[in-house]
Amino acid sequence: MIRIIGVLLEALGPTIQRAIRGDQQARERLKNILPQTYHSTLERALDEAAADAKFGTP
Amino acid sequence: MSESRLVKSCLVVLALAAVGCGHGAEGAARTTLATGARVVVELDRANAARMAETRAADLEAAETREAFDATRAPYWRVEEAIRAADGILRASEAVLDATGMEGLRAIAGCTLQAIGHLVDAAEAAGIRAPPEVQTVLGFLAATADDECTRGES
Repeated sequence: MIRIIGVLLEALGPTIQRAIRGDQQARERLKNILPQTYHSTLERALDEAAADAKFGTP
Repeated sequence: MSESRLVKSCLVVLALAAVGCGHGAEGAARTTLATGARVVVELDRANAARMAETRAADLEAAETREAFDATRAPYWRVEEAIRAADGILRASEAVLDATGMEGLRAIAGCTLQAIGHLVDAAEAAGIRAPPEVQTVLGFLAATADDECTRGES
């Protein structure tokens, strides 16, 4: 089970990285995959990634 | 009709009425939980859209990470309230499936509190909850046996 979750996360990794870099298509693709109540959670992750890019990782 | 047959007939009518009432209350509860779930989805969508629209400007205006975090905190509080409300709505449905209205009455105070927090957090972030949330809050307030005290000491 844990291995499969790891494999799925690995598959999503490039899409997540593209979304973090501001790729709108990647973000929409993630929104289509995520359950409906996780869109704010995705945006919060993008907030933190954007802040890391500007201010550095805390 | 003999007296015993009359009593039996009355008992059957009463039992059918009781079953009808039970289904009515449970049906209303299921409709309310479904409406609550739609409210959570709608607030999540609205909050996510607002976050995406305002991120670049907030990032540009912030001179420190702390300033950026402070500006974004209202949206993050909505996100946390969505997680809590989503979780307790799912739990409420599971309780209703397993124990019926009796179980739901025990948990309804906490469901009410979680949705109330979500509505407050959304308003603080400048996002209005859809009007049907009032129906959800009203039903839960009328159903709850008690106030939610879980996790408080």
